[in-house]
Amino acid sequence: MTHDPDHDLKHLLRQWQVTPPPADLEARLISAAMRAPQVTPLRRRLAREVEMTFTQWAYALPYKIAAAATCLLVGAGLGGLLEEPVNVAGLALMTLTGGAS
Amino acid sequence: MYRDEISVTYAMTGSLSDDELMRRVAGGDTDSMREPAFRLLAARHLRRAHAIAMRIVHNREDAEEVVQEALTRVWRYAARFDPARSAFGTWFYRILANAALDRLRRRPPPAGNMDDYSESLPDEAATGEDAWQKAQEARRIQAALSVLPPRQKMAVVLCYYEDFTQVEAARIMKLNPKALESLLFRAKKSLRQSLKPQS
Repeated sequence: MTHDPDHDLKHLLRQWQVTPPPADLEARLISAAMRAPQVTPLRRRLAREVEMTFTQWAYALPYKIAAAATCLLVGAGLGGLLEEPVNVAGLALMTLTGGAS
Repeated sequence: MYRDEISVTYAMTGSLSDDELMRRVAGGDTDSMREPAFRLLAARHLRRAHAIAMRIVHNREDAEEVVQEALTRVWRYAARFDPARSAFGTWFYRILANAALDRLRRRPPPAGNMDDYSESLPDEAATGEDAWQKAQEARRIQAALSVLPPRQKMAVVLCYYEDFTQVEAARIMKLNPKALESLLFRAKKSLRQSLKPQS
């Protein structure tokens, strides 16, 4: 039979025993831990915000109005910029000549 | 009342695994089982966590603070737990080990601190000479452990007191198994030296 020095050391070390935690500790520690706010990951927070935005019309209404107004302005601005310049003189000439070039 | 609450919780969630309970804890405000799941999960691990903390910091108040810190982090960052990366036990005891080692670095126990000497008594029924000898032995072991470097002490506590396998302990301490083996080797050498039978 082989002698295991690790087993002896383990046996010796285990002579130091600690008493179990007091009975009220469990409830105390758990309640204190749950008082802290939970941290929600950014992705989940964003998903929730998007869902609320699309399912409740009044949710974040000022932001929705601001976003719509911004879209309108950007759209109008881009439209104005990209539109072909109107050749008023050319149109008038075409009208006078009956559309012949 | 608290025990009743635990009983009800157990009836609802008792058969769930740690990972499943953590999924409920991380469920957010909408999950009504969030708090009962956390209570059950914490109750499952509290005793072991407390024993580990006690053996590392050698002081009841500090041990309670360490466990408190670990539980609070589990609650706060429950959503960060990824069962695909590690088991709940590994994750939780890693948080606990880090909190305990951190506490030890910030506030090392004073040499010869025997605040918890009374808690070292291994057998309340034992009396007289026998009890005195057992208490002395426990005190000697506590003193020998207290002078080990923190990570060696953690390795000994996890493997020799809490029966984690070396692979589990290595994962908890974020080491490779060889490094843990080396820590244990050095710890055992020191312990054998300091616990040599007194002539």
